Amino acid sequence: MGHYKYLRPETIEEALELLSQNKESSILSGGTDLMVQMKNEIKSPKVLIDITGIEELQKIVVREGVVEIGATVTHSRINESEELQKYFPALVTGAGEVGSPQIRNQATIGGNLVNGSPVADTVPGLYVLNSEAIIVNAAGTRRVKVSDLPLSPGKIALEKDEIITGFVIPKPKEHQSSAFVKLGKRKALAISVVNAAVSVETDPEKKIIKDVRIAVGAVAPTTRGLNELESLLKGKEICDEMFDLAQEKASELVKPITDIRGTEEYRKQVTGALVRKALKKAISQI
Amino acid sequence: MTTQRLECIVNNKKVDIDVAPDAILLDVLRENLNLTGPKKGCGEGECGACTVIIDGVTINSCMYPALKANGKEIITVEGLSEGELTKLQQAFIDEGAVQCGFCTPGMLLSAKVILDKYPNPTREEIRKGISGNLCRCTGYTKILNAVERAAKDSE
Repeated sequence: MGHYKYLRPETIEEALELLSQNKESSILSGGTDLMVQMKNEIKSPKVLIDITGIEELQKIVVREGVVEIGATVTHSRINESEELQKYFPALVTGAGEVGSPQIRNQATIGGNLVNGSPVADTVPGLYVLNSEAIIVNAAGTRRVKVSDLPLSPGKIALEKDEIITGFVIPKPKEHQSSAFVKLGKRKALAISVVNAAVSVETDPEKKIIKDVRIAVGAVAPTTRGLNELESLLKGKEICDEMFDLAQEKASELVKPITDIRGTEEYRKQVTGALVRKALKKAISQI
Repeated sequence: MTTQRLECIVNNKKVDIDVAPDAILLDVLRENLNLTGPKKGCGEGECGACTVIIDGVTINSCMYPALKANGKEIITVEGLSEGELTKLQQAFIDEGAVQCGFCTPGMLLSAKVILDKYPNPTREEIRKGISGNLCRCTGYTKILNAVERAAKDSE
C-alpha cells in the first residue's frame, strides 16, 4: 500500500477546504471498500480525509414527509433503526445483507453509493425510494436523484470538489411499501449474484397497482431501473398473471454479463424470480 | 513521513503513542502494543480473525486506519478477562470450541457482543452474530454450543 496522510476534519466546511487543498486526496468513510482497493493498489490517494468525525453526517432525522440520513450512518445503524424499518424496508433489508456484522458496523450508506459498485446492496433501495443525495462543495449545495448518480462501475456523477453529506427519502404513502431481495452464494459475506428492490403503491383495496419502482443490481454496469416494466405494471390488477408478466419481462429486459458469480442466462432467470419475490413481499406489507 | 499522535483507550488502559499516518490498527495493536490476540488473516475483511471491539461494536482492524481510533475505546481478546477467564472463555474450553485457535480471539469478541445484546440468544442470533468470523478447522457447532452454554452459565 502506498503511503498516505490521514486527516480528520470536524466540520463539512473544513472537509471541503482540505479536499480543495489536497489534489490527490480521497474521502474516507467506513473504508471497507477503499482500504481494500488501496491495499490492492487499485487506488493510491496521497491523503485520506476521514469524514466520520463530522457529527452532522451521523444523524438520522425524521421530518414532516421525509427522512434524512447522514452519509456516514453505518449499515448496522440503518438496519437496526426502528423508524427506518417502518418506512423503508427496501433500504433496511439491503443494509442488513451487506458483508458481515463487522463490515456493517464500519461501512456507511454514503460509501456504498460513492464506491460505485453495480452490486451495491443499498443502492437499489435508495433508487426505488426516490431518494435524493445531498451534495455539497464550496459554492453550495445541490440535490440529485440517487438514480441519476451511478455512471459506470466505480464511477458516480460526483465532482472532485464535492462531498455527499446525506440522503433525503420521502416517507411512503398510505398504501405503499418496499422490499429488497438478494441472491448470494452464501448467507454472509456474499457479493450479490443479482439483487432487486421494489417500491409499490396500490389502491386502498390492494387490487390495482397505482405506482411502482423497480431497480436491479449486478446485471448491468450500474444499478438499473426497469422503467419499461414499471409502465407496463401501472394500473394492472394484482393477480398471478401480473406476477408472471413481471417475472418474464424483468428477465427479458436485463443484459447481464457472465462472470465468476453467474452466467448471463442464470442471472436473467434470477432477475425475474427476484423481481417477482420483491413485488410480492412489498405488496404483502401494505 | 512524520508521525501523528494516537490517543485512545485499549483494554481499559490509556494509550498515547506516535504512529505513522498510514498505520493500520491491527499492526499497531500487534507491533506497538504487543497485543497479538487479533490476527492477520485475509487482510481484507473476509475472515474476521482481526476482529476487535471499538466503542461497543465489532470491526475488522486489518482495514481500519489506526488514527481513526483516536478518542475511541478498543477491546481486544486480551481485555476480556481480568485474571480469571470469563464464562464465555471457559465455555469455549469446556465445549471444545477451540482447535487451532486462529479464529478464537475474533470469535470470542463477536460472541461477547452477541451476549451483551441478547443475554439469551437464539441459535440463529448466534449464527448471525458470528457470520463475519471464519473457522477453517472443524465447523461451527461447538462454537455455537459454547456461546449458548456461556449464556446459560451467566443466568
